[in-house]
Amino acid sequence: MSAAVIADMVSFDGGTRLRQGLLRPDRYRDLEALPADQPRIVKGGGYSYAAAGFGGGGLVQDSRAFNRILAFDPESGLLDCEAGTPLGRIFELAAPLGWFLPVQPGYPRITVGGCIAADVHGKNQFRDGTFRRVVRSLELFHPRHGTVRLGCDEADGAFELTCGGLGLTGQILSARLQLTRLVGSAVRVARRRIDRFEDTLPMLTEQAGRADLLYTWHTFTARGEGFGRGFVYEGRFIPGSPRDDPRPRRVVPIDAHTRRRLGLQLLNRATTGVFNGAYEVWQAVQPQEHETDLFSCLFPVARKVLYFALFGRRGFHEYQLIVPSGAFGDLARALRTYFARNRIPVTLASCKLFDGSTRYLRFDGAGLCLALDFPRGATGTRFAVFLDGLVRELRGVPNVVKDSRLPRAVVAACFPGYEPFREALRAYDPARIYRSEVSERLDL
Amino acid sequence: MTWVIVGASAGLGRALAEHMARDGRSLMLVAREERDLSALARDLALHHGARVRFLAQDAVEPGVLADRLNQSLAGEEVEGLLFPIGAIDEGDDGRLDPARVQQLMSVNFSAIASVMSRFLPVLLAQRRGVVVGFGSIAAIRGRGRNIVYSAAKRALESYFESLRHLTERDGLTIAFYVLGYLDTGLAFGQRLLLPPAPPAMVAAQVCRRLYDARGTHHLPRYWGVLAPLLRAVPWWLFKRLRF
Repeated sequence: MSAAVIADMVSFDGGTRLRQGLLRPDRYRDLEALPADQPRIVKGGGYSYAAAGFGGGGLVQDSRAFNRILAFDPESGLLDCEAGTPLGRIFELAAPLGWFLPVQPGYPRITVGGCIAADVHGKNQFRDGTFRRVVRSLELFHPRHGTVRLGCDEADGAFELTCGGLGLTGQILSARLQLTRLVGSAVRVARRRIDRFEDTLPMLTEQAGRADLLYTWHTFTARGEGFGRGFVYEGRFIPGSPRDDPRPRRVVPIDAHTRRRLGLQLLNRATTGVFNGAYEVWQAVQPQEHETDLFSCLFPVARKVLYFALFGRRGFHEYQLIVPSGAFGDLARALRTYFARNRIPVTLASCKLFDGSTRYLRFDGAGLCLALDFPRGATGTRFAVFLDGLVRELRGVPNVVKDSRLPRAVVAACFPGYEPFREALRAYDPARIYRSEVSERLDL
Repeated sequence: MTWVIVGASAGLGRALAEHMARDGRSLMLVAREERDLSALARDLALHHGARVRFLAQDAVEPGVLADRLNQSLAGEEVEGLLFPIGAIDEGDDGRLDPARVQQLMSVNFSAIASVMSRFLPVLLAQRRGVVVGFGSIAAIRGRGRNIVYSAAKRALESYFESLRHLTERDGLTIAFYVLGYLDTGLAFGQRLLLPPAPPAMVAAQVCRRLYDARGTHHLPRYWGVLAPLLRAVPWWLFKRLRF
């Protein structure tokens, strides 16, 4: 096995930077070569906004060499792959055969292992659930337990602990995923105007049953009655549209390091209003309905990475939260009041409907999910602290992997599963070998 | 017609396998671990529809490797053999345990010569075939590091020159690539004088000239300029260099 390199590690939002020993195993025997008591954490694509793939004082194991697709049954849609497989590779193989992953985040280089560890959601969580729903089984390595295969039918076992377990139960080696049959590979996206933030939930609820993809965009730089105005986007597959082209798609590369190349934070208080205004005008002049290809629809970030780069070296915050539908009115009121008194340059505000229940620290539940991006800095930090209080007050949950700053107290207060998760982790691995900055910060 | 890649599970070997599978070639992958080979073979077959088989055999037993590979391909037409196999040892400073010295010699030299001793008659009988070996810039000048590894790679370069001389009139293509720094497990974590090249890029260059790259070449190509310069450094200066 190669020696560890002392490498600079940084979270995608730029909030956490550490120097740490990095290993890049490319053979299975390398994974088992570390001493059994060596603290470690596995890193995937490195797109977690929080430092879930590094920190914790041990070694970091880069899993990206384990990126092979092991089996695919075009009859049943079951796909076996290694955990370092990027979502884009699955798309390239499955879409031309008429299958796709219904739950996936928007950048094709995010790995399957990362999706499991963060239990990510896709474009319509209300209908499709979180990533855990597509995982039929997984293979997990932990020095204490060896390599074990865990099935989704284990209600209380390590499978439950690993899905959304932040990589703390061991190294996910491979997974069996259930893909969904495509009814068509073109998507018709309809856009409707939202006049004010308060209209968001009723509009989403009205469209939830019939949409394949459903999300909103808002401008939080508008004041007065139009605060939070924006658009709701409803996408539907066009039945019978031709199967996807098997050629690899162009993906603009970005990672946590290249995102920081720009010294200046170009998305800031001075520019965000213009940025949002330009987007709003550009959207308003587009046809109300348009057709797009499946790849662009599933991976909207693939060619729009400049957005993240514009936050520069200093980085950004993303605060993502779910509040129960009954608390949406309070959420809207609190945000309207806060924004009337404070100028927060929110560069992205987007909502989705959620349905489910949360367990452990999974970002799941029933209600409305709101994601807010804003530049990192003193004003941004104050706003994040305000949101910490708000999410607690409204009995919501924040997304642990989207915020490299989220304090332990907030997580412990919001997630009824915090203590059970902590206890279950300790029972599974008393020595707590798999550790990260997130696990240390949250005292897991 | 089958292409054999010895040392196929990682690094340049894996990149060669991926490139050749993309080109639709039928492959026999050889490496130590079945888990790595099985995963790679399945991935290549799924993505490219290529016929990919594998043989899990450690190269520290060159005779066993040569015999098992020969048995696996008995009666088949072999179009070419590529040997992107190699191993280094951090303690390779002249004081290695003799058994480890033997292992390094086996993996970096003897395994290749042993496999060729079985397949050369096949290729000569076919009167065609491609054999590609891979050396290292570490063998350009002897240094106080990677001593056995460098010696084995220099022996390999000599072996390939002999092979080319032997088969000059028999229609075989014998190529030897002296490789600079590659972004593989061998180089990871080492202090390098120049940035490592992506294995996929090197594999593409090798595959592009599979049938016409006779003789010795350097990859990345700038090592073709640097290697003679390094050889020309006088001893009084070379002995002072630490790299």
